[in-house]
Amino acid sequence: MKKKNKIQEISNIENVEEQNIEIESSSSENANNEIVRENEVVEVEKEKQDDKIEIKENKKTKKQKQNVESDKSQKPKERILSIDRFRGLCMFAMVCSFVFGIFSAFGFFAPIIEHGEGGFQVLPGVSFADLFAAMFIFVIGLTMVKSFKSREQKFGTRRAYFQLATRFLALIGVGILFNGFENGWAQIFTGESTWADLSIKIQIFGVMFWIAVALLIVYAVSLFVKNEKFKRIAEAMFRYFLAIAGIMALYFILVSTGEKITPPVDGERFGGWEWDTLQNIGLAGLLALPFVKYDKWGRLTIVGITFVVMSVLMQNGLFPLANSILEGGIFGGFSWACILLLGTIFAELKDHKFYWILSALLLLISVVLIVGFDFIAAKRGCTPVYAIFCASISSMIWGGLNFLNNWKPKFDFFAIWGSNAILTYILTIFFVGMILGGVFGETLSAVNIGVAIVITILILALFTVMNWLLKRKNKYIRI
Amino acid sequence: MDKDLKEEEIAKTVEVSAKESNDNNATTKRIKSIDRFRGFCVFCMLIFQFLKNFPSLGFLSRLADHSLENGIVILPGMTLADIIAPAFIFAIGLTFALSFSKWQRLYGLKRAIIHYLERALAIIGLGTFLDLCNKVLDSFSGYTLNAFDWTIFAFSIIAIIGLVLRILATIPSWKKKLSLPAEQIFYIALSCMGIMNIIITTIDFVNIFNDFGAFRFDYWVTLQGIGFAILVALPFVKSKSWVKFLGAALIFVAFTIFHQIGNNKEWLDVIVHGGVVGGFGWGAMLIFDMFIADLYFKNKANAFMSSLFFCAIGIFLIQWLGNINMGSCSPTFILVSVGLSGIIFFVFDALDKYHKTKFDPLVWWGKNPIIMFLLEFFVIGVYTTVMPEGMLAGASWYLALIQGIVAIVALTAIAYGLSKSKKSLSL
Repeated sequence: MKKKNKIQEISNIENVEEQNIEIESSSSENANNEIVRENEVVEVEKEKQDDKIEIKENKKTKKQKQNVESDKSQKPKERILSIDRFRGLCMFAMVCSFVFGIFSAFGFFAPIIEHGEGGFQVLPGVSFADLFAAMFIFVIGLTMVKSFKSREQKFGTRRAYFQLATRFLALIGVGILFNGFENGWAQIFTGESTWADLSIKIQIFGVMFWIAVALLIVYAVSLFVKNEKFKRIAEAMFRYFLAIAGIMALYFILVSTGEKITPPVDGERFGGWEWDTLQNIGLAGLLALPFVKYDKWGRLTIVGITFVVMSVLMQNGLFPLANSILEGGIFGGFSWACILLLGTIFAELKDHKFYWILSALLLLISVVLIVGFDFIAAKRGCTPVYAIFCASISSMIWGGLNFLNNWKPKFDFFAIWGSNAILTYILTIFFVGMILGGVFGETLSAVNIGVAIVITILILALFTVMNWLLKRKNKYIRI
Repeated sequence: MDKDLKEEEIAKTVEVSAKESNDNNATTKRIKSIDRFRGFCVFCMLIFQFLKNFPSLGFLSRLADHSLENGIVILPGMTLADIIAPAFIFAIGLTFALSFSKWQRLYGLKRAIIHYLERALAIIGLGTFLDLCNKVLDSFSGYTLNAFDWTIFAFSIIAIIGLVLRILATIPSWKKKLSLPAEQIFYIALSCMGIMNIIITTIDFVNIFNDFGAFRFDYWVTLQGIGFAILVALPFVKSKSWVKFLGAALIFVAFTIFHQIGNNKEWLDVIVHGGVVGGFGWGAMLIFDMFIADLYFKNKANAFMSSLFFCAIGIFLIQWLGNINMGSCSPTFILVSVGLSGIIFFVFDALDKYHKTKFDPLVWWGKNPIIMFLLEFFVIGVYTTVMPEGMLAGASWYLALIQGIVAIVALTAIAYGLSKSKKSLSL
C-alpha cells in the first residue's frame, strides 16, 4: 500500500510540474514575440525544465523497475517441470535396474539393465543401461548454472564457488563412505573378511562411515529442534565432514592413478582404487565448476577442446587405463564433466533455434566416429564419443519433455520421482543395492517371479510415496 | 535450345514475398546457393569422371571411383563419389515443388502433371539413349545389338529428329509452325524410350530373381534412377510437408523390408542403383529431400537440423541394417545421402552471404545441367576414346593435370557462354 501511495504521489507531483512547464512555455512563447534576448533566456529555462523532467522520469522508471523486481522476487520460483520429469525418469530407470538385478526371475530384463557388452547395444560398446548415468549427469547440468547464479546473487561469487565445490566434494564423500561400508563392513558382516584384511583406505573410510552416520543423526535431530544455530552447525558439520571424505577420496584416486601410470619400484601402493557413480558425479561437477561463469559458447569451446584432447588420448593408449576403473576414474571425469557442461549449455539454449541443431550435430559426430571410424565408445572409461552421444540423446529427450511443460497433471509421476533425486539415489544404493542386493542377495535371487513382482512393486511404491510426501511438503533434501 | 528460361529456369526460381512493398506484389528472386549447389554437383559429376582416366593424379583420379577398393571411403560402404548423385537429386528436390506450382499456375494442374510425367520419362529416355550409344560403340568391338537395342535405336532417331526440329524452331519465321510439334516429337520419343526402359529393367529384375545368371538388357544408370525417382515423388509434389515425410517414410520402410529380406540386397545390387525396385528407394530419397526443402523455405535452422538427424540416424542404423550400399540403394544409403546432401547444401547456403563478386562459375555450371551432361558424355567421351594410352592412363602427372585444367576451363567457358546468352536445354 505504501509503495502504491508513493508512486501515486510521484505521478501527481509530475503532473503538476508538467502543467507548470506548459504554462511557462506558453508565457515564454509570448515573450518570444517581444524580445529575442528574452526568448533565449526562456529557452535556457525550458531546457532546465526538460532536464528536470528527464531526471524525474529516470527516478520514476528506476523506482518502477525496483518495484517490478521486488514483485518478481516475491513470486514463488516456478520449477521447470521437464527437468524434474527428466530427472525422475533417470531415477526411476536406475531404481528399476537395481531392483530387477536382484532377482534371477527377472533374467529376461538382462539386456536392458546390464552395462557394457552384456546389455542391448545401442551403439557398439554402448548398452541401453549405459545411457542413464550420463542422462542423470546431464540433468544436473541443466540446473547447475542457475544454482550457481542464485548463490552468487545471495552470497557473492567466491562463496558460490565454495558452496558448489563443497557440495560436489560431499557427493564424492558420500560415495566413498558407501564404499567404506560396502567393501569394509559388509564384508565383515557377511564373514568374507576381517578388519585386519581390509586395506588402510577401507579402514579409514569404514570408520568415517559411522562418524558420518552419527553426524547425519545429529543433523536429522536438529531439524526438529527449534534452534537455528544448532541446526546450522549440525548441517555444516555433516556437509564439511563429507567434503573432507571427498578430498581424501580424490587424494587416494589421484595417487592410485599415478601409481597405475608409473608403478612403484618396490610394489607397495598407497593409492585407493575405490570409485563409483557418486564420486564420478562429484568429480564431474568439480571439473566443470571453473567454467560455470563462462557464457554458453565459451563452455561449448571448452567441451570441444576437451573432446578433441581426450579422444586423441583415448584412441592412443589411454583407454585401457581408464577402462580399468569404474566410470574411468580421473580420466573419465573429464568426459563426464563434458556431459555436465553440455547440460548447462542446453539449459541456456532451451528456446533457441540452435538447440536441436546442436543436438543433431552431437549425435552425428558421435555416430560417425563410433560407427564410421571405430572410435572406442564405453561407459566404463567414459570415452568422449560415449559422452557426446549420451549428451545428444539426453538433449533430445529433454527437448521432447519441454513440449509437455504446459501439461500439468495432478499426479505427475516422473516429476515426483525427480523432486528428491539425491535422496532417492542414496537410498537406492544403500538399501536396494547394499542391503537387499548384498546382504539378502542370495535369498532374494532365488524367489519366484510372482514374489519378485510383488517386492518390486512394493519398493517402487515406497519410493513413490516417499517422494510424493516430500514434494507435497516442499521438502527437498540437498547436500 | 530455347531462349526463354522456361521450366529449367522456373525450377530454379523461388518466390520471395516482397517485404519492402506493403501490397501483395511478389518478386521472384533466385537463391544463388541452390544454383551453386547444383553447379557443384554437375561439376563433380563431370570433372571427377574425367580425372578418373589419369591414375597418375593420385587421389584426384579416385574421386569418381565408387569401388571400396579404389574410391575414397568416407563411411562404411560409402565412397565420396557415392554422394554426388544423391546431392543432385537433393538439388532437384529443393526446387521441385516450387517449379511444379509455377507450372500449375501458368498452365493448370492437368498440364503440369502431364509435363512432369513426360519430363521424368524423358530423363529416363535420355539415359536410355546414352546407354544405347555405349552399346552401339560396343558393337564395333563384338557386341551384337538385340531387338530391344534396335527398337531404342529407332526411337532415338525420332527423338533426334525432334531435337533438330526444335533447333530449327529457333528461327523466328519457323517458330510458330515448328515449336509445338518439335517439342512433342522430342518429348514423346524420349518418353516412350523411358517407358520401355522401365518395362525391360523390371523384366531384368524378375529374371535375376528367378535365375541369377540370366540374360539382362542392362539399360539402367544414374539418369534412369533420377527420372524414376521423380516419377515416384510426383504424387507428393503438392502435399503438405508432413504428408511428404509420412509418404517417404512409408516407401522407405516398405523398401527397407524388401531390401533386408533374404538375398534381395544381392539381387538389387546386380542392376545399377537397384534398378526399378531400387528406384523406389531413390524416390523415397527425393521425397525426403522435398520435405527438407519445404522446411528450408520456412525455417532454415529446422531444415539443417533435419539433415543432421537424417545423416546421424542413417549411420546409426548401419549396425542393424548393414553398410551403406549405393549399388542396392540400401536403406542406410538413402538416409545418409539425404542428410549428407542437406549438410553440403547448407554449407553452400551459409557461405552465400560471403559471395559478393559476379564471378560465379558454379552458378554457370548449375544453369545447364543437361547440356553439360551431354557435353561430357559426347565430347569428353570421344576425347578419352580417341586419345592414345600415353595421354590418359600412361600420362605423367603434369600432362594429366594440364588436360584436367584445360577440360575445366573449356567446360566452364561453355557453361559461362550458355549462361550469359541465357540458352538452355530443357526436358
